[in-house]
Amino acid sequence: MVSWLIGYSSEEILAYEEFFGGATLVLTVSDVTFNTRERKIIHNVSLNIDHGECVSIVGINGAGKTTLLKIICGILKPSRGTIRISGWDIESQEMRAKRNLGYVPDTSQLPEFLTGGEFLLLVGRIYGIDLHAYKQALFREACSIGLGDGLRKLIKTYSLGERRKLSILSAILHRPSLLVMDEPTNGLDNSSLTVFFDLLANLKGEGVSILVATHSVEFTRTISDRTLVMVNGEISASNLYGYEGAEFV
Amino acid sequence: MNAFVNEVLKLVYRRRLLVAFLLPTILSLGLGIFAYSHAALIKQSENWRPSIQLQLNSDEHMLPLVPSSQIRQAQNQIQVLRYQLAHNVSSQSTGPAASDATGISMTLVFPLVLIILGGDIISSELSDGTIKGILLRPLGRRKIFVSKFLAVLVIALLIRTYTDMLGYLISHCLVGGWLSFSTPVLMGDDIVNGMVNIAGLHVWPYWAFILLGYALNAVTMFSVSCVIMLISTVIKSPAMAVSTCVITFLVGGLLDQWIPWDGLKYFPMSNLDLVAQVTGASGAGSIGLFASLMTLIGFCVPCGLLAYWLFVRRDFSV
Repeated sequence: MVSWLIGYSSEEILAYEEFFGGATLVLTVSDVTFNTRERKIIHNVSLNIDHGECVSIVGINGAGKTTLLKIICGILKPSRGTIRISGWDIESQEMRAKRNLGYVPDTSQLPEFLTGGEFLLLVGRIYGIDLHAYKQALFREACSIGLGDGLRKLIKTYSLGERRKLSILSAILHRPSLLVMDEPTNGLDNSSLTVFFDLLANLKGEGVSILVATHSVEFTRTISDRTLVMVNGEISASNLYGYEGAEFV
Repeated sequence: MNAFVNEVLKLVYRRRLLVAFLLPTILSLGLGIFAYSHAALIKQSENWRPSIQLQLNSDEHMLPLVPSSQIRQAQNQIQVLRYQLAHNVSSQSTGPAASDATGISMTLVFPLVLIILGGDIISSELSDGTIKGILLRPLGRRKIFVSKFLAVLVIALLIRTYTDMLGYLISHCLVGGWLSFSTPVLMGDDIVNGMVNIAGLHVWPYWAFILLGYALNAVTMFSVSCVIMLISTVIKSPAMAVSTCVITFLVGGLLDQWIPWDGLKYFPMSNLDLVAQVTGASGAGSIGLFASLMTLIGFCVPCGLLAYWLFVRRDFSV
C-alpha cells in the first residue's frame, strides 16, 4: 500500500487499487436485480465497461433499459447487486461515484427560468469548475454542437433538440469517466446527429466511456464498440447489430 | 458553499430577489418613515411633557366610555403614560412607535418576503422534475436542503438589514437631524393578569433596542423559514405551496385581531412580533418574551426538522 493512502478507509483503498491497479473497468454492474411489488423489472444483470469504450443497450419498449440506466446512475436502488463507477460504489460512495458520472435522461427536465449559459454556470459550480476561465472552451464546444447562440436564450424557448444538446453539454462539462445516455438521438436533426456522433467520438478519444440506451441502428453501427440486447429485464445477447429483427420488435 | 451560492443565484435569476427587495422597501419603509419621523419630532420638541399630560388626561377622561373588550388596553396605556411622566422618558416615541412599524412588517411584510423567496423553493423543483437532475450531481440531499434553507434565510436577513437602515436614513433625513443612539426607549414586558406591571417597566438605550429587535426578528425569520420549508417539501404544486404559506402566516397572524379568543395568544403565528413582547406593544395579548419565544420556536423548529427528514428520505424517482 502506498504511504499517501494512509488515512483512507479500506473500502476507498480497494476502490483506488481496483481503478488504478491494472484494472481499467469504468463501470462494473454485478448481478443487479430490481423488483417492484408487481413484477421483476431487471433480473441478474452483469455488465462491465472499459475505459473509452462505448456500449449500446437496445431492446423493445418496456425491456428495462431506462430502469437499468437509472439504477446505474443511483436514481433507483437495486433490490440486489452492486454498481461501481470508476471503482466507487454508487450506494455507499455515492458522491465520489457521481463525480465520475454524467447522465443524459430521456426527457430533459431543465430549469425553464434560466438561460442555457446560466444553467451551465450552476452545473459547473457544483463540480468546482471555474467557468469564467473555461468560458471560451465551453462556448466553442457549444458552438460545435450548434448551441452557441442558444446559451443566451431562456431554456423555456428551447426546441426539443436544443434541450437535448444542452442536457448533453451539462453532462460532459466535468469530463466524467462514464457518460450514460438514454435515447440521446431523440429530437436531433440529421446535421445535429453528425455533429453529435463526432462529439461522442472525441469523448471516446479522450477516454470517456459511454453507455447508451437507444433504438437508433445508426448509433449502434457508427459509435458503439459493443451492443447488448435487453429482453424482459435480462441481457440476452451482445454484438447483435441486426437487433431490430422481427423477434424483438 | 457552491451549493449555497447556486441557490442564491437561482433566486436572482428567477427575479425573486427584486420583488423581495421591493416589497419591504415600499411597505415597511412607508411605515418606518411615519414611525421614526413621529419619534424624532417628539424628541426634537423640548416641551413634550404637556402633550403627554394632555394625552393622559384625555385617556383618563375617556376611560368610562371605552368598550369593555378594550378596557385593559386603555388602562395599560394610561399606566405607561404615567410612567413616562414620572421617569421623564419621552420615548412614547421611539420604542413603541418604532416597534409598531417593525411589528407590522414582521407580522405581514416579512412573512410575505420569505414566502416570495422560499414558498416554492423545493416544490417548484419537485413539480418540474429538475430535482432529479440536481440529485444526479455530486451533492448530498442534506447539502441541497441546507443550502436552500440558508439561501432563503440569509437573503431575508439582508433585506431586513437593508430595510432597517434605509428606513432610519430616510426618516431622519426627512425630519432633519439624527436620532441619538443613546435616546431612551421605554421597555416593558411584564404583564400580570393582562395588566402592565409598572415595576416591570424600564428604559433601554436606543442602540440596545435596535440590536435586540434585530436578534428577535432574526429568530422570527428563522422560525418562519422552517415552516415554509416544510410546506414547500410536502406540497408538490408550487401554487398550492405558496397559497398554503400565505394562509398559514398572513391569515394566521391576523387571527387574533379578528377572533376575540384569549387562547389565540398561544398560537405560534400570533407570536411573530417578538419585539412587541419587550416593548409592551402587544398589550393585553402579551404572554411575555420567553413564553412567546418558546411558543414560536417550539412549533417552528420541529417543522424544519420534519421538512429536512422528509426531504432526505423522499423518493424522487417517480
